[in-house]
Amino acid sequence: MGDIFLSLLNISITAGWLILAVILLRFLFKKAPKTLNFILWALVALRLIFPFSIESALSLIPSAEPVHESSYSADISLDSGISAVDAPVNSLINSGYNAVQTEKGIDIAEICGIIWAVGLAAMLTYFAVSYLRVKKQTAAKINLRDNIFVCDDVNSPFILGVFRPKIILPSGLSDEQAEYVIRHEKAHLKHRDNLWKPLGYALLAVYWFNPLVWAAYLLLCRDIELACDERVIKNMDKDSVAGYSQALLDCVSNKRTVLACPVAFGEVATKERVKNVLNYKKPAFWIIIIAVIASIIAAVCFMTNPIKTKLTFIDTPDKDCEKILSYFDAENATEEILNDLKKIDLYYERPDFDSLNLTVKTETDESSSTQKIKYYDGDKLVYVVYKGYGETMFDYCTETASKKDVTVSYVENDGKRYSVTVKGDDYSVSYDRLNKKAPFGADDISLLFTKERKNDLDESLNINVFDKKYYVACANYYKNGDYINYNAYTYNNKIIDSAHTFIRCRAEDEKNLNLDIIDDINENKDKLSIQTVFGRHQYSYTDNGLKKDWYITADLRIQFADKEKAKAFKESMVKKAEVNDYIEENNGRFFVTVKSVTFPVAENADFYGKDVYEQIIEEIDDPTYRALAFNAENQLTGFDTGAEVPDFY
Amino acid sequence: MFEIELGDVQAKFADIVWENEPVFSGELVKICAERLQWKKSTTYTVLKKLCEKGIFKNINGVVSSVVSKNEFFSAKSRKFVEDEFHGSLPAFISAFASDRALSSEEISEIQKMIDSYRQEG
Repeated sequence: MGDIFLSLLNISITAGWLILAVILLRFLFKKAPKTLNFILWALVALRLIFPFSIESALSLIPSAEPVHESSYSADISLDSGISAVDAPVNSLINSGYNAVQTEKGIDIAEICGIIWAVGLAAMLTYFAVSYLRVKKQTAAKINLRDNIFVCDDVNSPFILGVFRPKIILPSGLSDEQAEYVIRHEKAHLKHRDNLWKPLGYALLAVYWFNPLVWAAYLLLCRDIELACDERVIKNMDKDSVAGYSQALLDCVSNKRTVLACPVAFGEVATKERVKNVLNYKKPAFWIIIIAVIASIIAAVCFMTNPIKTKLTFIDTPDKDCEKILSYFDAENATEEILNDLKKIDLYYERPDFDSLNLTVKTETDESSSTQKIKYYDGDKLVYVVYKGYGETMFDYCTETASKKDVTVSYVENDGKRYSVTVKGDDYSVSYDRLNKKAPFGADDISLLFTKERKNDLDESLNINVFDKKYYVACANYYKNGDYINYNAYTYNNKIIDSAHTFIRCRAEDEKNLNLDIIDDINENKDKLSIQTVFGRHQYSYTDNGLKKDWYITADLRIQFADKEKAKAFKESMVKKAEVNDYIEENNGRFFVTVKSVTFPVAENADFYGKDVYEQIIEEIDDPTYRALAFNAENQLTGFDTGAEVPDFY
Repeated sequence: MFEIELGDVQAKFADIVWENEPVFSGELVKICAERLQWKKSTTYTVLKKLCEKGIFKNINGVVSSVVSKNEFFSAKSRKFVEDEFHGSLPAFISAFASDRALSSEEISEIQKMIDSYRQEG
């Protein structure tokens, strides 16, 4: 029900633009034959009946889907094309939505859908009841001739019935009056108004919630009458015209009007009609031409949809976060991707696609059943949609910022350390898609150099931090914490209002927290020194109701002086965590690597301070021992650059 | 007293009753169904209205007139003359006749009427 309502809402909003255009045209072309109006209203009806339409660059409709529902969190948002309207409406919707949402899963769209259905039922009931009443009222009628009847109990003439229409005349009409009236009603039948008016009412019943549709219906009724008047008097002489107007007046001057029933015709704006009749002049040819042209233009502009450059944003469920990001590949600079992962606030940051004329390129990867649909503005990649298994999994918009310069520091075979700065243009970035998890830290990135380096680096040297002990530091990114710092606004907002979150990377369930490892570490912290290795650093937080915690996932390389102790520690860790099954030996020290240890950062840690987020990868020459930092309550708070490497036992 | 105003439909119905009265209501229904394509309920409704107007009555399923056709229309004519000609019968007749000449039959008929009226008076 909610879905139906939403699509009807969208259709009626887009049709609303057309209705406004028709109203304007109708006003401008008062002198044109009323048949034109009828055609215009027919266009409106088409727009309301058939949701599919042709896309055209000439479309003036701001958006084909002004109201959309994000598939994950069922947030509804409005994008009518007028941002002044959208922003307040959307904040209203979402605040209202959140309020409702707290009562376990009530869906605003569903509620609206039900209200709509009730309205529809009411409209149809009114029609049925009115029809039956009129039928009863006209039971005592006498056939004059053909399908013309006379009835005592009605006060003005009308047509009864949709498929076998009968003309009903009030009794007491003079022959002259009857003559005119019959001509008018017959004009209605010739126009088949007995079909169009109920059809219009049917559309009104469906779209009752849109005031523009009401306006359209009322104006349609008016135009129907005027068109019939015109048809009757088109070739009449002056006396007859006067007689006709008189008959109009006489028929309606009786105070008791026929009930406002959709099947009756009598009660429309007599004054306007008489005025129209008396002032009728055959419209000049050129007016007709102009009116027709204007109508065609209106049809093209408002019957066609804008080219669909606006794709709906979706919220991705947390578990899919990694899966989706693993589809990325090297074509786009990392900054752009990570940067755009923060795209949450649609209302402020999304670029204006309407002004762009985008070319589309679709790439399909058969093996993984994924598809990348890329939108280019000239050469610039502007927007990407990732589809997996036929469904849109992730889409985002790139800000085609240029890549940052990168400082690469590496150890050559001679044991010396070198560092070089690589310009943004000279490298591209790749990820190990299969084995890395999002969000990507610097260590997950491979740089592919595209130009020859002065320092004799290979032209396409894969710099992988972990394996080859190269350190990569970028000017602004890829230091741990950078991602979060850069997206501070987003992360802040996550805490405030998670409904807007585009990506929510949540830590695994509590049971995945290696809390007992932490206990061990805590217990032994003065006995161990720990060298961190640059594993996956996943900054994430869980939403334990209101409590927000931050977690760090890192590989820990724990150093022992004693091989046996190292072994013992390793054995004790094996069941709890992923441990390298070899013990590394280096310079008389023994290292046990425990992988992917997730531990919480203390709540009161300063998110943006160095205490918590440490540059794991540095430009400094030596691999530094990183000690774990603990706060006063013995809670692990992160890594401590400045700490002295404790002596080990 | 009875109401003089009859709409076209009621007038036609009244004609039927006057033509066939006294008539069983069931029979009347059949006649109206045939001549006017009216349902039973419609016939009864209109009949009821005319009974309320004091023109017909429906007693024990038999419909008959309270006011005869003649009575009704002469009352109507009288009212017309009153309303339009301030009750002046001569004015009415001259207006009537000014449109066309009276035929000899009409003249003798009117004369008879005047004579019998005189006699009554």
